[in-house]
Amino acid sequence: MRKLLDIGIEQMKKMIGEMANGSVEALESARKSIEGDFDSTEEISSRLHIMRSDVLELATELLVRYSPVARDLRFIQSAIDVSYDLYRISRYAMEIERTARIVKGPVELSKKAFPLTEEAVRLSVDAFRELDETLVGRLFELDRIIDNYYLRSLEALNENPEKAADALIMRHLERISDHAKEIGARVVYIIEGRRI
Amino acid sequence: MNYAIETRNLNVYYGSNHVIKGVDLKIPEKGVFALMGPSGCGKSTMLRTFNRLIELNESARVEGEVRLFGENIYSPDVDPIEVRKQVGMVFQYPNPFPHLTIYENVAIGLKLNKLLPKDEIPKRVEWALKKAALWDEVKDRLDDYPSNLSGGQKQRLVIARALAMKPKILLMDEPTANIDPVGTAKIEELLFELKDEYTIVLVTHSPAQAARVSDWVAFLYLGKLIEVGPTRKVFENPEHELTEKYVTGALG
Repeated sequence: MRKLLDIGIEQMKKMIGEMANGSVEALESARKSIEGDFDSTEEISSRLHIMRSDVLELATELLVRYSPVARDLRFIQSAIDVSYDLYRISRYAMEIERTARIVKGPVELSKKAFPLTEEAVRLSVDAFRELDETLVGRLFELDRIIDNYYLRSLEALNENPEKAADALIMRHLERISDHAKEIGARVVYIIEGRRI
Repeated sequence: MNYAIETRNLNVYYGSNHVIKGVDLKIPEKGVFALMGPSGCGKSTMLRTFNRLIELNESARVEGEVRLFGENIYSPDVDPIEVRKQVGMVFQYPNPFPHLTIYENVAIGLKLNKLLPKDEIPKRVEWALKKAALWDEVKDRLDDYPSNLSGGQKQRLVIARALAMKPKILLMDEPTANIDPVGTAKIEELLFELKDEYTIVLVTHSPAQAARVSDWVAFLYLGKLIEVGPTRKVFENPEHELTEKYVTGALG
C-alpha cells in the first residue's frame, strides 16, 4: 500500500516540477515582451492549464485510492494549490505580454520589479521541489518589496496617465509574487502542518 | 471538560510481561474515542481495564487508577459487577446467545439483573433494537434465532443487548473486524448516531476506521501512549514521528 502511494506522490512531484519550469519560462517570455520581443507566453499558459487538470486528476485518484493522511495528505492538498498558483503565474505572464503589446508607455518600475519577481518564482519552485522552508523568509521579503513597487506605480499613474502600462504590468507582477509567497506558505504547511 | 474515563499511571502486567506502561489518558464524555495501534500494542488490554474485565485473566495485574466519571473503579469498595452494568462491551466476534431468540437476547440482561418490571421489558427491547438500527430488520421475527442473522446484524443485536442496560459507556473491541463492508458501514453509521448520548471507546487496528468514525484518537505502541488528540489534528499533523509512521503505513 505504502509503495503505491509513494509512486503516485513521486509522479505528482514530477508534474509539479514540469509546471514550475513552465511558469518560469512564461515569466521570462513576459519579461522579453516588455522589451518588445513577443513570444509564446499564451501557449505556455495553455499547456499549464492542461497540466493543472492532470494534477487534479492524479490528486483525486490518490485521495480515493489510498486515503492519505499526515504529511502525505498535506503534500497532496498543497500540490493541488501549488498547481493552481503555477498556472496563475503563467496566466499573469500571458497578461503582461498582452498588455505590453496593446498599451504603450514607459514601464520603468516594472523593469525594476521584474528580476525580483522572477527571483520570487524561482525561489518558490525551489522551496517546493526541495521542501526547503529556509527559503520562505526571502519570499515574504520579496513580496513586500514588489508590493511597494506596485503601490508606487499606482501613485505615479495618478500624476501621469501615460504610466498606465507600468501600473497594469506592476499589478500582474504583484499578483505573481503573491502566488509565489503562497507556494512558500505551502512548504511550511507540508513540513510543519502550520498554516501561515 | 468532563471525563468519562481517566487513567492515572495505569500499568498492566501479564505475569512478568509488562503490557501497559504508565498510561495517563483522559477520555471525554460523549463522542467516539478510538484507541489505535498495531497488533500487540495493548489496546484491547487497556479496554478491558475500563470495566475490570481484565480480572477474568488470572495472570493479569493492574496498577494505577481507572476513574469512571471521577470514581476509581479499582478501589477496594467497588464491586466490578456494578461497574460492568454502566459499561457495555462489544467484541470482535458477534456473540449473541445462540440458544436465545432475538428478543430474549436483548431482554436477558434486564431479566437477570431485575432492572425493570416485567411489563416494561418489551418496550425497552424495542427501544434498544431501534437504537441499534436493527428494529426494522427484525421486528417481524423477534422469535427467530440469531443464527439466521448476518454477521453485521448479529453485531447490531449485541449492541442492542448492551444498550438495553442503558450504560453510560460503550466499549467496542474491533467490532467490525469480522463484518463485511456493508455491515461495517452500518455499524459505523450507528456509532455516529449513538455518540451524542454515549461515550464510545473503539479499539481498532485500522487507522482508516479511526479517521472515519472517531472524534478523538489515541495511538498506543508497545504498551505506551504515544499520542492523543482530536482525530483531525492527529491525522493531518501528528506530533510524534511514530504516529506519522503508523498512520501513513510506514511502521514496521
